[in-house]
Amino acid sequence: MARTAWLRIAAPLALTALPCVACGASDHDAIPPELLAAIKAGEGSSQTYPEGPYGKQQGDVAKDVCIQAWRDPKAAEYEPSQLEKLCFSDYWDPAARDHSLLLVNTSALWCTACRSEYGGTTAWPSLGQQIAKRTDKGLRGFGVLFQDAKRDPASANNAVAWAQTFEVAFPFGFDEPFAMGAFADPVLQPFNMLLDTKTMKIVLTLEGDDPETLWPAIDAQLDR
Amino acid sequence: MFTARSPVASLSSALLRGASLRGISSRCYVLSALLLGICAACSPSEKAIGSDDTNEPAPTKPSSGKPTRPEGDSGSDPSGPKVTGPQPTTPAPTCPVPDYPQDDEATAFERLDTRVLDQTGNGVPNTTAQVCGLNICLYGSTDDLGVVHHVEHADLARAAFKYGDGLHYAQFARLLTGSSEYDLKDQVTVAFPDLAKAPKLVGGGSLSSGQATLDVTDSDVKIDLLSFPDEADHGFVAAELDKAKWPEAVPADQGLEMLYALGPLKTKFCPPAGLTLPNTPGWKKGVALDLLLHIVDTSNHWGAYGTFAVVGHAHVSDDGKTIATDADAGIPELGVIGLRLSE
Repeated sequence: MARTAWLRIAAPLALTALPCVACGASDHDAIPPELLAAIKAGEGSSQTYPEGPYGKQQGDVAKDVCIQAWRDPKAAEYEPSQLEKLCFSDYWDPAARDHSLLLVNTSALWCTACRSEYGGTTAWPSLGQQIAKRTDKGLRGFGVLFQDAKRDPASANNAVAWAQTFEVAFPFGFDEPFAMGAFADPVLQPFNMLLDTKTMKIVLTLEGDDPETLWPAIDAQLDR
Repeated sequence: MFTARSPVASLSSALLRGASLRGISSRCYVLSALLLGICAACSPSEKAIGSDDTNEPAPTKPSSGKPTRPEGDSGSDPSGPKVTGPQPTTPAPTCPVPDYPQDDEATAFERLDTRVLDQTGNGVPNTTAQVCGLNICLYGSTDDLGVVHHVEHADLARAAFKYGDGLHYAQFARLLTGSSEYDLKDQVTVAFPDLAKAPKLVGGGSLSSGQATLDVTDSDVKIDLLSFPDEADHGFVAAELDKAKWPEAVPADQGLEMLYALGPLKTKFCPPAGLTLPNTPGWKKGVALDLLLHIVDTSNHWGAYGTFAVVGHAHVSDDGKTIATDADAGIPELGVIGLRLSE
């Protein structure tokens, strides 16, 4: 029995040690450069986001911003415990395999124009409906709530109330430190920013709910 | 979507890919890749890399495929989730809110200066004082003396100066037209009674604040939880405005003779709630009246933003002392209401 047990331990150890001995694993030069080159940027390497310089104007690369969010608020049943870290870098897609544009929207509870944008109007469908209509063409949405009705930083509970009220079904969360302040004016809301997810360059920034400008611009980008 | 992986896992993947794609039959690469794969799989330090400097643990994805909200609770009402009300044994009544199409061109706004006063002439400190159009809102509040100073360039569609929080002070939307800079004279509101002494706003009975009585016996009550998330703020408050001190936001051409403010602002009732008020104007017994709501929301409901729109009807009581809303023509939501003789 003891011999069998020893074999059970020794055999896997020997097998795992073998390639190291055979290949000289301690010799770093033994890995062919073409194999190392096979690791593409943004795909498993330490580089997960385009390098700076970053800016906030059209054509600038947007710096990475992370918030606490639901990737799918409805599926998460708007549960605060389901909030997770979500970043622009999660959408960086150099080869446009999954998508090509990211629409980042900021809003605040004190802003009734923001509510109209999420709720839709007689003339225009809601933000969520507009995004959903273009998902197959490569548009993704990223909703950011940053202040409550008293202009205090938004909380998870505020995010829950907002997401439930408007039945938000695209990635949405709250930005308590207002990291989006790198791009948006906290006094003037709502704010929309369109990113080319192949490069994370800013395609368009728009202050206010201006569907007549925003959606034709997005459609033109998606049709390119 | 890209996810960050450890360098070891990446190298393992690359070795396998390289061996396979390039037809390398060497067991060295395959075994090394497997070994590295084991190392990667066992690594306790798997992290999200590079997305920021914190190196926080990789997020776990939320569960999917769960049922969403209960049927019948669409949640599309901007006033927020249902708060309270009688438990219906039959399907809950629906109260469609009419949409009012608005298509206003955006015009430039640059500056606004004013002061917000209550009915006693005192400055209203630290209350909402936004410049808000259909498309953009500029945050602002009064200072300790009620003074407001806005300087910001924005192109606003149907801009209005919106002041008062709708809970401690009545909210009004005074339309801004004809200029990009405004020096408004004093803008007036009214203070609500002490919220701490207000009756809790729940369905299933009658509530009074001052001389106003709200009947929500048969109504679902939806408080605007986006504006008033704290339960301590869910009290019914009401105050009448002295006609001699009505604000500029009240149009002179709509024949209003009485103005009452009710809060919390944008609390919705379905079916509409009954409302009884004192007959301050002294209308004759049995006279028919229109009930108008001041539209301070930009959501295109009931009427144009910044105006008063008819939402219900009322009659003066047989003894001439009170005004009561008609059955099925009550008040659909709280805010500033105006009354006028019905044509």
